[in-house]
Amino acid sequence: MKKLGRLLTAMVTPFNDEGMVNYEQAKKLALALLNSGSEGLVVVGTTGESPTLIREEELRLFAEVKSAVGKQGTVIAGTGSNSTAEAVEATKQAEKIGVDACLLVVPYYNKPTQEGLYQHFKTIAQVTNLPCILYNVPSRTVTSLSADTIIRLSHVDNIIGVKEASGNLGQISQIISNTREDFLVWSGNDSDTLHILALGGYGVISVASHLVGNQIKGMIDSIINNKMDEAASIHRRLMPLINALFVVSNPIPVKYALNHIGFYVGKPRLPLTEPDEKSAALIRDTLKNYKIDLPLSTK
Amino acid sequence: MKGYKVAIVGATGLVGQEFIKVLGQRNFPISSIHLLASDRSAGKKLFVNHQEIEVKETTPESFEGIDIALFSAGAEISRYFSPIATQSGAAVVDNSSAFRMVSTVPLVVPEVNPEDIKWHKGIIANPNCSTIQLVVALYPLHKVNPIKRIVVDTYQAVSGTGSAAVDELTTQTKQVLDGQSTTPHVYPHQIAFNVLPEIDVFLDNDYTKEEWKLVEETRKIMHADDIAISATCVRVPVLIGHSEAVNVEFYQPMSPDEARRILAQAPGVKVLDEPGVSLYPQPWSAAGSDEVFVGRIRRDTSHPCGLVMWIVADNLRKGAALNTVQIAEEMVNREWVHPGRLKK
Repeated sequence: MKKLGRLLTAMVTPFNDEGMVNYEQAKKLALALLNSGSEGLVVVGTTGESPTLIREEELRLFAEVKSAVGKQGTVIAGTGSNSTAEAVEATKQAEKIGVDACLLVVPYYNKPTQEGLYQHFKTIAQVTNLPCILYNVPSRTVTSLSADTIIRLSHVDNIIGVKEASGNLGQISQIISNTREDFLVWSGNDSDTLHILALGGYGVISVASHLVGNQIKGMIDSIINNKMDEAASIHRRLMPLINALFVVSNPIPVKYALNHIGFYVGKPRLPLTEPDEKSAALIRDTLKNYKIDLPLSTK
Repeated sequence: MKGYKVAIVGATGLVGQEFIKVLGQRNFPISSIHLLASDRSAGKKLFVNHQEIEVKETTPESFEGIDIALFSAGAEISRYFSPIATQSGAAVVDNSSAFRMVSTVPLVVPEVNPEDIKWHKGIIANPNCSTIQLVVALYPLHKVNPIKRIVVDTYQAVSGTGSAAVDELTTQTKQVLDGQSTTPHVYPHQIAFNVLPEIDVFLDNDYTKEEWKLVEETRKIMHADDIAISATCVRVPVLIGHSEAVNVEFYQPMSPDEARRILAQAPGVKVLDEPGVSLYPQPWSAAGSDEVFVGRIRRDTSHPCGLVMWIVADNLRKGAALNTVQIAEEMVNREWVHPGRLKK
């Protein structure tokens, strides 16, 4: 199987002044990210405002980003849903477009049982040849995938890993210990990347990598090369930025930060808004202390 | 172990002879070695691993069958012969300034950007001596705390100029001590008991070319076009070993202890920093060593994100021959000698 990459960016979806998807800017952003440390992109994740995109926009984003990126990096399509049938359909269509993998979030709002979750993911994985990554983010979905269910699901051939944003390092250790060697754990929280990689995790699906991709890549390389001192130095320095990027709901801060540094991605769609002045000031002040790795493109 | 046919262009020069030494000391996999120089030096014999080998004149035919050619004979020779060597199938590692800033030529310090070797198209450039020691010491810090600005003053040994300059310093020193008058040949002024803030030619912006090399090469090697750099390069009456007083501004504060800890683990770096017992790097003691020595690490009291340090290395070894051979080693180890051709 093709390597998906240790550093994947959960890419924001750029909108124009009218609130329509700005596909040109999405392609530019994708390439800029791949030129600043990211090895692949998650398109139409929560950071990409999946809840407020329509199917047609999602599919076009997959296609346009994949065609812009070519072989320079991987494209992972967010095709999860809280309806198994919907997720099956979206995954089939993404596969037809030629994405490299899909990211399947835990069904939100309807609170399935662990057995329901197992059936849900297995059903989706069985209709596709795409590598599937599970996404456990109980802070957003209420329901959490248990370690046992993840371990059970790791026996499905094309379920190749999990994006873990539970923040539960005990659960993550258990997953790493009890799954096959090539079952990969990506950190789903920028603040947990160091810890998860130290436990034997594989990488991160990052938001902060929009701005400091090379630095996060450097941290990952340091951990792989057993230079924990170096990695910890990078991690500690990145923490204030990571905190600022989550001062209100993601992707509000990262979109504001990108606009602020001159990479235009527009406002979020309602019900998300721009940050209030206090949060905005915190983001601006924090950014001053960082080298921005993202190469800037013009509006 | 398989061996490579290696040619040394400029074999009779200071760096050329250092090439021979370093290749031997590091057991570089050589099947045959070809010593090349100008017609003036042709016929001279040099010892390679206790064996006398005759120096030949460099001609276009010299590179037939050669796998790796190490050049240190000045930019003119490199410009003329490197393309001929690559056409003959040799991979060239060039210690001159001829190709360093050419965008299609990788400029490499193996401790910093070994991956750049991968995209070479026949020629890999070895950086300027004063650049190499600077990036070896600063890159590990830049990785954990990106650098915004560097101000560097160098104290460069005469061996960087070549053997004629070494002779000039020793001759002038004797002359001055004997009360005789001196006549400068290599440098514009007397170098004995003096310092000269002029290395290489002056440019339109009033910097010297040496100073500008430090700026451009540092950015290229570290992949950091946005680092602001200002340099003053000074020739001092030292035989071997370049020293640099370096002021670094980072994006965020960094304590001297943290810098020491990072540098202690960094490849190719040795920290010598105990001011209480007068332990700090010096060119006299660095001569003959492979490491880049760093000391006098302290907070810049004039800037919250600043550090000041003192960096010393043997300009003929890490500054030239060793780095060139390390590049060749990386090529060999990663099988990047002949990209695009069948692996040998």
